[in-house]
Amino acid sequence: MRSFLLIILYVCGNAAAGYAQEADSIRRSIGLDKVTVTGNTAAASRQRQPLAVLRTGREYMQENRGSSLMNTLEKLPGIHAFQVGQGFSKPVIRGLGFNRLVVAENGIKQQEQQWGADHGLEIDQYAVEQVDIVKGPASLQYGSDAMAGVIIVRSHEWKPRDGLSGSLLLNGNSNNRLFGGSGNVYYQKENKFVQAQATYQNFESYRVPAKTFIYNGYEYPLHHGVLKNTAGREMDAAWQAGWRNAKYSATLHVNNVHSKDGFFAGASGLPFLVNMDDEGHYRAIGLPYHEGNHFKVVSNQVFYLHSRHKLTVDAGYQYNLRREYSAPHTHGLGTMPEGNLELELRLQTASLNAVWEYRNTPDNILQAGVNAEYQHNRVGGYLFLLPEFEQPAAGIFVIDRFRFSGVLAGAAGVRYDYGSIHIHRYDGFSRVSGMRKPAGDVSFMAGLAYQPDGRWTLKANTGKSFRMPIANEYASNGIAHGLLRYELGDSSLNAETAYQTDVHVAFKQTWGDGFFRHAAAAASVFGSYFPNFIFLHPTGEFSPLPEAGQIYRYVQSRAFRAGGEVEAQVDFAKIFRMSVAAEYVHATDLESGFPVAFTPPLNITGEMSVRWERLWFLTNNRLAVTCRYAAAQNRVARNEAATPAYHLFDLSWAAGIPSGRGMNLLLLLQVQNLFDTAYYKHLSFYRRLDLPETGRNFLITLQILFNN
Amino acid sequence: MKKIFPLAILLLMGLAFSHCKHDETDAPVITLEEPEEGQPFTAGSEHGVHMEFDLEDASGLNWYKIDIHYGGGHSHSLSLQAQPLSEPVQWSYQKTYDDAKGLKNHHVHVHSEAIPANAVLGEYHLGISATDVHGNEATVYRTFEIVDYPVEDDDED
Repeated sequence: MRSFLLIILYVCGNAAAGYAQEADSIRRSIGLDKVTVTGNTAAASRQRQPLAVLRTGREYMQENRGSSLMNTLEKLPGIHAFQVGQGFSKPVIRGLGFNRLVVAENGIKQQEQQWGADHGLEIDQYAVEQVDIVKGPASLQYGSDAMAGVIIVRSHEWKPRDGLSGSLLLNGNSNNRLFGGSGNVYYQKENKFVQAQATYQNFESYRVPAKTFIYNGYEYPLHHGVLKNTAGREMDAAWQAGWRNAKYSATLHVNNVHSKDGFFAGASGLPFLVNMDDEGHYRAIGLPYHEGNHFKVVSNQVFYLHSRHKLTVDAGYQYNLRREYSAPHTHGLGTMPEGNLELELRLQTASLNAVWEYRNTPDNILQAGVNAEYQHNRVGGYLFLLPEFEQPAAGIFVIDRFRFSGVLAGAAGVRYDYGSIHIHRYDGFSRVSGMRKPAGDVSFMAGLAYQPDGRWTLKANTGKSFRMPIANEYASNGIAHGLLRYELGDSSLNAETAYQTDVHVAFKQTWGDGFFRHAAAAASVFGSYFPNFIFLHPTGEFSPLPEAGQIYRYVQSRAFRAGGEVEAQVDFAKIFRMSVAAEYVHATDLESGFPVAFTPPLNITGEMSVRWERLWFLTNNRLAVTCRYAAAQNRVARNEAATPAYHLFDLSWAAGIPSGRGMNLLLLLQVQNLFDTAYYKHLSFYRRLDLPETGRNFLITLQILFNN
Repeated sequence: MKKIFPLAILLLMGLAFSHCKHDETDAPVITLEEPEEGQPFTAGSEHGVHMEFDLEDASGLNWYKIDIHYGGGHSHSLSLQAQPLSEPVQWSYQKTYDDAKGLKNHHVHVHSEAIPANAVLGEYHLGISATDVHGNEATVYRTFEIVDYPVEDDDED
């Protein structure tokens, strides 16, 4: 079965390569093709941007919905999810993530504990309407942290028709016995809308294809393959309203994402106190666990001041509360006045972005903007990880987008950021001295987009970006549970800068009829040089804490990163689509010659899908087989474990069930990890424990749409 | 055109690979002689746990650490003595050392603190970790037992 699927994928891969020549010959013989005009002005403006933007909308989400937003987006080339079990994951673009990547929801940068690998992305995936992904430095508009890229999430789109509409989604997973649902009610009248959404998810501990795991050198049993205490709950609510006319538009978003998740009992605290007995309560959440609550209010306003002037103002406030609970004795401590509250982080952020856009001529658009942000962090609990701090930061930028001719467009911009962090002194078991540290620098970029005809696109972009070190890089002093090691900050770090160049070539062609209907291929390469890349380096000195190994300290070094993505897609024989995507990242610390830790290996994804308009009474059927191959990652940092290669197969079937009276049913059935393969993911929280990732998982999603 | 880009990628990667120079990647070698696997020690022993091991690293040793903690499991008690007067504790002991810094070879002979008389009986884990000047880390583990009957002390000093 497996080899059969492999053969299909390889054959398809060859077909894609062979097709390219055929496309050329077809073009030559016909002379001029029929041209199908698709897309809209937004798509056209995206194509003129020098950085490639990947847009996914509702349809993609409906056909690929996984267990979390990142699990859904992970199939896209160049995008990875730093996995923490089933429930949560963090985005990684081209091997960089955490505080080098920005996730912006409704125009406001999502502020979480970005630095922590064990903190998921606190966004309700069922409330997402559209996701744009910019791979490459997008610091100019999105702030200095967007070195690796930006993920832009929108939770509202105006509908073409007025009236009441809604949807109800029910979902379930077999692996962790998840059940959940999400409901949405939307009302739009003329120029006003209001929307409410609620989501609930409840899951058991998940299962892996392994019988034992290793913690601190000893083997512990996993009863029935269950990772004890990895059950969780999620409860989200959102409310949005908006109003628009020819001169002004305003939208207000209020949302709250709440989650409670158990920490795998085998990965926290002293191993001799690990209780791995099978108690049978797979849905119960016991100690250690964490609770996160993310509350956010965002307003988006657009003022159409004049036919040529537009002012966009996005303002937001977020309160990110995170509490981790564990019994003090599992860390070798006695009774604590804080009880079981191990760590509490209370981060409040106020943000303001204002962008003025001046349309000088249709071919020359000037943007000038300002971003300002204020962060206020307080901590609690009996263990120390991160100090309290306040951090005001602001940036101003100017970008000019111009079109030289119908085929050549460009953009250039410059930005200046300045921020200052005030870290509070901490005297306890760990010590951090207070400090005030300002940082400021210039970022710039310039790029060109060349479209000689409707088929080819060539983009090139180069620039410099920088980011200020964050509080944990300056002043952490404790065990980061995300990586199970003792991390020490360094207050003398300098801001990190990067020089990066991207080249992107894309080709697409559409034929009216014939065996081949549509084909597209794209290749992107990037190279970047960091004169002072910040990363954790082993010191050789042991931590005094019993559960930690040696101390890792934040250091700076010259680093080089390069890589790229290649993708091809071909539609043939009316109903088939074949796509192949490959990506690779190479990252080296130039001073030691060692690879940079947590660099994803070579990945190749092949997908074969079939679409039928009608199958019995079902409409819009799509059946897809996906093969994901990850090569071994042997380029590892000091003390980092190498990860062997793996193949994974997924199956998915999406279909619509027409039910009349404005009601539509969408059904999505998926099998992830079809063969229950035991595999390790290089970018995973559990890699250090030699714990394989989730075993076979059946997912079912039923969505009922009313007037939608 | 289609061939240029894969070629460009390969070229770039070739360039990148040529940067790799692997200097000292070997972690220290720890040869643990004592205690032996499953060796019994008596609760309340003044001598504590006796350890003998050799550390070796071509680029120079840095720190080493001793970590003893309760390993759970069953106790191998031979007698049916009454419980000690005080509440039993899961004994745990950690100590870090830097006296081997810069040395290529180092022989260690140490004793832990005295084993508490009220230590929970049963399996204990001993972990010895060492780092070298580059931060390469190695750990070896051994299981020993704490018992409530007298054991002949094979330590000469």
